Amino acid sequence: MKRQSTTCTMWAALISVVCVACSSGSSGGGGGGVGGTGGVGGTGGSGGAGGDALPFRGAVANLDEALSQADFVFEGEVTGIEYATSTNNGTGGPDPDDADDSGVVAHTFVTYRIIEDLSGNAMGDTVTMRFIGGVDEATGPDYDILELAQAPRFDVGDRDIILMRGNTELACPLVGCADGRFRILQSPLDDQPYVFSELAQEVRLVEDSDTEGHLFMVGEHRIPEIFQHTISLPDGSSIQLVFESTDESGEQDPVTPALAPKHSFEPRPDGTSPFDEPAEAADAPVAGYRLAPSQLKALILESIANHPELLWEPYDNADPTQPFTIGQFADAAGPASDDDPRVPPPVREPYEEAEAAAVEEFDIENDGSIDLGVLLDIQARRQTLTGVVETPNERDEDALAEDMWTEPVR
Amino acid sequence: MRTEHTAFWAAVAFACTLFISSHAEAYRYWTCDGTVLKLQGGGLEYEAGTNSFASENRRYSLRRALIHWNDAPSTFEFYEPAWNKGVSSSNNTSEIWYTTDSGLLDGAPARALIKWNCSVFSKKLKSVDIVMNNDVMWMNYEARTSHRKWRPDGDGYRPAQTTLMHELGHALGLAHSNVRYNLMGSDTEVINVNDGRFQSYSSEDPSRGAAFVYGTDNDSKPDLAITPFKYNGKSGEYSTHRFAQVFNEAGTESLPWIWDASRREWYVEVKRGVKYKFEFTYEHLGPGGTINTKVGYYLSSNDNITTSDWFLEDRNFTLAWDVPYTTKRTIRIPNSAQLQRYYFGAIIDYENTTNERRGSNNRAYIPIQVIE
Repeated sequence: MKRQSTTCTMWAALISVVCVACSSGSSGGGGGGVGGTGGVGGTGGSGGAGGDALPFRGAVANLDEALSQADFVFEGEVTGIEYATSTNNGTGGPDPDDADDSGVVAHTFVTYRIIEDLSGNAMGDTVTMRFIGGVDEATGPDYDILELAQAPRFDVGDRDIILMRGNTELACPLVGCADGRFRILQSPLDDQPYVFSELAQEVRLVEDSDTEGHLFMVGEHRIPEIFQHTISLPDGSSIQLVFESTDESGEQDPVTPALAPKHSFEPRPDGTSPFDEPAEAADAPVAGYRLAPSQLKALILESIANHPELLWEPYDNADPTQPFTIGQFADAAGPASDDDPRVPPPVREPYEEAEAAAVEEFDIENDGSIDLGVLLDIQARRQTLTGVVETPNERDEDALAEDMWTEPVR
Repeated sequence: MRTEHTAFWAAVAFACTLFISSHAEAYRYWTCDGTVLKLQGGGLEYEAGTNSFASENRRYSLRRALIHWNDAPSTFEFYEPAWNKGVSSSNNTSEIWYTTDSGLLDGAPARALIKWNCSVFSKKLKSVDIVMNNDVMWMNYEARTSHRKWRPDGDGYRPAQTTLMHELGHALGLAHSNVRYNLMGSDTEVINVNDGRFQSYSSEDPSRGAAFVYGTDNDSKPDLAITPFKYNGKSGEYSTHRFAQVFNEAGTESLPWIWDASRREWYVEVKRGVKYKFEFTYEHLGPGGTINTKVGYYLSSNDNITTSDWFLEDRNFTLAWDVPYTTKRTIRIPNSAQLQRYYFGAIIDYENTTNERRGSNNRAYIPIQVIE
């Protein structure tokens, strides 16, 4: 992983990038915490019920900070995709309860031809990254395919700007996983190359009152290169994977202006930002400038130049021909920090618990009674959870309500 | 009192719903060679890690998450988990556990490992492991004041139930979605809140998505819900959510939220005799066609909104099972209100005309302080 030569100070936010949202919609950018998800007031999880923030701010990480987490930053083209499984090292499996557990985990090795070395520490003309998930060759011809939710999908020929992090250590070796990949694609709007997110959201530069500018991912488009993937299998066949979205609103996003190609990052003589045009419409959910690849690279290079304390050291290069092991993902006991000691859970007698749960789960009449139909629903759901089939006619209402919420017998 | 519909009008309404929904839904899923990837068999019993689920607290939150997904009107059901099981990422069993392994999680609160195949033999999800981050401050119970939304000083807890529900959404085959208020975006705000507690739920669009993938459980009663949260924007693949707001009568300005540290709640200041636009998100969680209902608005002296509170006015709503409906309604603060803290409450289907499968998600409130 990357380290810094000086104490990581709180850099002034110059440019930020909408980031991450690992599983469950939280920031996971490079070990970034489980933080913000829009915030109470839409201010990146910083709290505050008010909300004058930009409508699409969401969980925001500083681009400077994102670069500080990266080991290597480059523009490249995918030239190879290979699959290999980890060695069964007795960790992360096999499951002692499962005799069929192979103990190995499929991985994908993605090789890029480096087009431009933005961080200045390229270790050759290519770099290979290792991602958890992929085709398990041993399971053919009905191949098992493993994937990590939110991890990016690659196809040969993809052209991206990559913020690599923790290669061979992390399951997804990108800063913020999919958010560390900026895709370069022809925009369906004007057929010019622009920067897109993993899921075809335009990456736009938007100014707000706090900082010079932010990178936002907004305005999704149905770009075939992003929503359709071809997975080549070891037996020579291939399968077509399509990400189906039932929403069409993204395609209706207004066209936003492209940033002038010769823009300056210096403030204007009057002190205003060069990005300060045109005015943002009051209710417009989308604003700002679509970024050309050269403009994003310029932002990255400027950010790197502004932070000479960052050390761009040699990084690990993955090799699919070499055996490798992965972490244990060990089953961990709950820490004492689970649950808030300031607010102890309510203590109820079993029947009271059952009654309260029934009130929560099912419709209750206005007089507070539970009708028999509701109780039968309770009984049916208990069957679902426990697999125990009971005869409702033989039970009275109280017994049904009580049974549902006591510990099921397996 | 329950509304009766003729078969004809019900069919018309349902057809209309389908038509509208074809352009309004937002759920996402994967197809392989044209087949929707989903779990087989109509049900799933998760295996829960021995160490991770040793405590009854964690078992409680997992059970609640499973039950709340079962509440969605799809034909798929989660069963009671098998406890005290060994787990690993290298088998074909759907398992759930907590870990401290940063190599997999890299700071994320949870991640789902999905195994599927797509061949001439089968096209399906084989297993979905859910791995939770053991280093996160989790809350297994539903105390509102522990939830980090009401802990702006950063000492709040992440609700395990909503996180588990989000990951279980992946198990059902749903992908992230960022264009509506929905569970498959940022999960922690997808909750109903009343009486000091919150509860997780599938929310409208994922509920619809699960029904699409597995088929609709037409035997299920419909369900209506209301929440004080709304869509805020996008963060990568995720929608972000925020508190709904209160606006002036013209709807041109939102009232600023003020933090009350002693009560651990946000409130807005209002004046007697003045009209304001109060915003909530109203949902039809399915199944079935359009539901005509009424929402009653109340003033309550506490945060437990009931039909016994001070009734103000009601409004008619027509809700279809498609996407959540965030909207404002103009209500006057009574001249006879005291200068004190109230809870502006809303109860959807307050006349109980809809035979719902769950009534506890019908209430929501916004704290207000009457200042003059």
